[in-house]
Amino acid sequence: MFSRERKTRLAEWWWTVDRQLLGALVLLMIAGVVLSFAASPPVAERLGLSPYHFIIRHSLFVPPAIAVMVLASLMSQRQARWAALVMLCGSVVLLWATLRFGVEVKGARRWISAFGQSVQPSEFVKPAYAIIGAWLFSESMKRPEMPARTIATVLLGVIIAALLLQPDIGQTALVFATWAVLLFLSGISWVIIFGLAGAAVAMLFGAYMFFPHFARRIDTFINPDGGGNTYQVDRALQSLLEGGWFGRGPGESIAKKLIPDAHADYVFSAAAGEFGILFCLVLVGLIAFIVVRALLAAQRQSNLFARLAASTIAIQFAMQCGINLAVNLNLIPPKGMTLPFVSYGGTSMLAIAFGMGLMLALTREKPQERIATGLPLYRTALAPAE
Amino acid sequence: MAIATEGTKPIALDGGRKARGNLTRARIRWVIVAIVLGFAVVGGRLVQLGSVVNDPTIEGQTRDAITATRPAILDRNGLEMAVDIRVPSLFAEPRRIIDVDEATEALMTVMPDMNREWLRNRLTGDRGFVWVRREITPALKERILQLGIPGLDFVTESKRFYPGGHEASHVLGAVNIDNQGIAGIERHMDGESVALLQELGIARGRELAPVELSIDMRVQHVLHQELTDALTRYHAIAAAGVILDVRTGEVLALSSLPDFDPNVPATALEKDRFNRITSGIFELGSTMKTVTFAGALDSGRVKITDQFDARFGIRFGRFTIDDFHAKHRVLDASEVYKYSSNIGTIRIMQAMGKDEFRAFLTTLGFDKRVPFELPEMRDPVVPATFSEIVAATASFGHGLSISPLHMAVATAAFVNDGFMVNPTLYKRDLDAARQLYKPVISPATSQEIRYLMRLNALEGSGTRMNRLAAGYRLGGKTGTAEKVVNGRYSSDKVLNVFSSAFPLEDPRYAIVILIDEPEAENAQSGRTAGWNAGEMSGRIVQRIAPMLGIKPDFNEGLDAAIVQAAMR
Repeated sequence: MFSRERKTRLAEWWWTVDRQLLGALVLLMIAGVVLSFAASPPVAERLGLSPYHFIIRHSLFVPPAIAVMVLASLMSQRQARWAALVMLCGSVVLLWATLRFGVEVKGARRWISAFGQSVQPSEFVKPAYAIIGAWLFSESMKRPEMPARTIATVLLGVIIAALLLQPDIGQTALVFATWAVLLFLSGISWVIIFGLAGAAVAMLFGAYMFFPHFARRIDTFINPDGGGNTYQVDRALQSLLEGGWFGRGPGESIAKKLIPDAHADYVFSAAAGEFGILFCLVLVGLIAFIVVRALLAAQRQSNLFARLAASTIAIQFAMQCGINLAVNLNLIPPKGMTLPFVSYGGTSMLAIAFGMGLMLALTREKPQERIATGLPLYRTALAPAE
Repeated sequence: MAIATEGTKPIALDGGRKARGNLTRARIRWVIVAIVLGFAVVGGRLVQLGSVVNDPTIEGQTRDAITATRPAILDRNGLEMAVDIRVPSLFAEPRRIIDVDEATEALMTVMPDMNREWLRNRLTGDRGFVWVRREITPALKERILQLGIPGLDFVTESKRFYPGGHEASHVLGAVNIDNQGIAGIERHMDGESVALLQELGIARGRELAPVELSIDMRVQHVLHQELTDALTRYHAIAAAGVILDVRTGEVLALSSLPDFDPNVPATALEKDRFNRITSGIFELGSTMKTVTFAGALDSGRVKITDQFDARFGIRFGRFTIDDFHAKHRVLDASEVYKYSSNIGTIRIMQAMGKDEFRAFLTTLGFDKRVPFELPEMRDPVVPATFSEIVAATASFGHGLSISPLHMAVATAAFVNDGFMVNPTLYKRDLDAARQLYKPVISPATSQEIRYLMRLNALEGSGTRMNRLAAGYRLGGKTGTAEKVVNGRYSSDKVLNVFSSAFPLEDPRYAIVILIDEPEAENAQSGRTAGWNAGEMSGRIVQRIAPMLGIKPDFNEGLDAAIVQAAMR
């Protein structure tokens, strides 16, 4: 099937895709299934469900997620742009629809029911915006006379407005950061970077002033003994400490049973009690490997759009992972952010798989630079079409 | 110049594509650096958390005390009086208990005697360590394990176990739940060395050299049994006794009833469970006459053949002191002792001189506590100076309160050629004891006291005792002290004492027996000391003498020898 003799699309994909990156992503998904065995049964029991409820649902989403990832990674740049555009339009519409038709959970409208499955549109907005934003920025770099950058910024405003109305500070920050990363990568001057950093601080301060639940979290983080609710964080730290270097072994951890969100945001600390700190370090290493390898691959891309888009998605992934890990380790105030592929959440896994698939597609070894003969471009005298 | 300034600008501009490529690649490099740093922080935090050493089971200092061991206590023949056994103790980590109500209910099923509210409060909270129940049985531990409650665990503790139960309770004392001595020899040992060892961590999980006591468990058992018997036989409220080796000062047996079970130390707190031998002080009545006689005979101003007028009571102001077994005639000194004449004793004391008599009491150590290992002690009450009447009453044992142990030590000294030695609960050999000898009377006086004690057994108040302990040459002095009730001496409530020694031709052991508020055994018997304390001493000696290697000997010549030695 992957024979080099005939130039099938699949064979070409196999020999051009970053197989180590692909392997690392699949490994992360498998780790997610393993960790859900550790983390989710107590939560399911608490909700009156079968202990295997979350494990089964999580596992059922893994094959489609892998399929989505592979399919997305088969795309060419042009196809990727189109797919991202369609997804962006659809998800932005859904995002606004959520405000009207969404289900209110814990004071926020983030979920919408579609096709018998509750969907969080913001999850799909993130990778789509990263691709489209990268395309717009690369166009503006090539042709500064085009208002591409302005379009990207307006798009950001549309998305952020919807997210703030939900409200969903975490996703807002992530989408905003995606835009900021694009600005940074597209060569904005350092003066403006520091200016924007100041603006970001000001925005955080604004959030602190205007969103009471956000302010409370910050207060509680700065002063844990101030009567704020640190229950979840305390339990997470306890679980991390409980396992020590090597963990207590599968099923042996007790602290994880007390973590309310053990299956979602706190899956990392919940699993630490059973598998140990060393395992956690390996997991962090795996995530870091994915991000750094994707960024290095993006750096090698000669195509500006591919370089920007791939690196933006990788950075987005890194930010989401980093925020989740930092929250789990009590390095920053609690922020609702899932650990990609590891936390429970069916549709978000598909969204991340789609984003990772596009990242794989855009970091392929110059498939676009081959001509119909199948010979690499440098063997020909033709100039590349940028 | 113009060319030079232009030279600072790049002459050949890179292609736009290349410039953009370089720019974005540089920026991506910055991002990579930032991301690697971010993940390094996360990794560093993980390493930091992994390096946190948390005590896996126990918090705080409790651990030090609980696993501390104590040396075994053996009697003089190597029998175990106190040993350490290993038992599980149940503790909880409330912060790891998921459902407090469920855990409480489950525990109540196996420990129904616990207080539900207390248990629930105990298990609630965020602490890392609370005791639930200390020192439980392995069977109970097994049942709790079967419950499978998270957050409960066990540590193995050393528990003090006293195989003899009540038998030597006042000697041994008790330890608290943290294995620290709180009473008796256990507490004394802590004061000596054990506490220090535990503090240094040496006494943890390690065998300590056992401590050998002077107690002979066989003798202790007899004493304890006879005292228990006496409580029912005479319907007494309390009984106590001590048996001393007169040569070495070793305490062979010491018991005070009612007593307690050292395995359940709380029972020691019940009323009237104190050690009457050491921490009880009493007016010991006529047994004091032995002391008066010893002092007077030793002063040389009174001879055993002297005559004393006991025809009339002696008046001190409003009071007249008369005899209980009044003869109302002139008595010689041995008759005064035999008939326990108060009048005669006062005259003997007066012949000696009241200040000399007071000084003699100081010589005997009646002013202060007996130097002894047990911490349960009380200061004796002896007036600092004697007036005529106080000296008179003191001569027959009223108006001054001393512990029975004082009397036992004095009696031992009187029969041990006059050499006093501090009593001890530890083993002591004769050579070591001789180093401590303190002469209080001359050997000749000692012979005379032995004669008087034996005489009292043959012809005086000790005859009932002598019949029971026939052949063991036991002799002593009875004392029937009226107790002070509401500020007046009561004739109904008496404290009876018998202080004795045997075998009197070569004294080895001194005994003081005390019985509080005895009643007559039956209609034919009396209530004075000869009927109860005396008989008890006889029964005890009858049983312990063979154990101690004293053979019964019915040779009349032995008693004659005692008389001869005294009359020489």
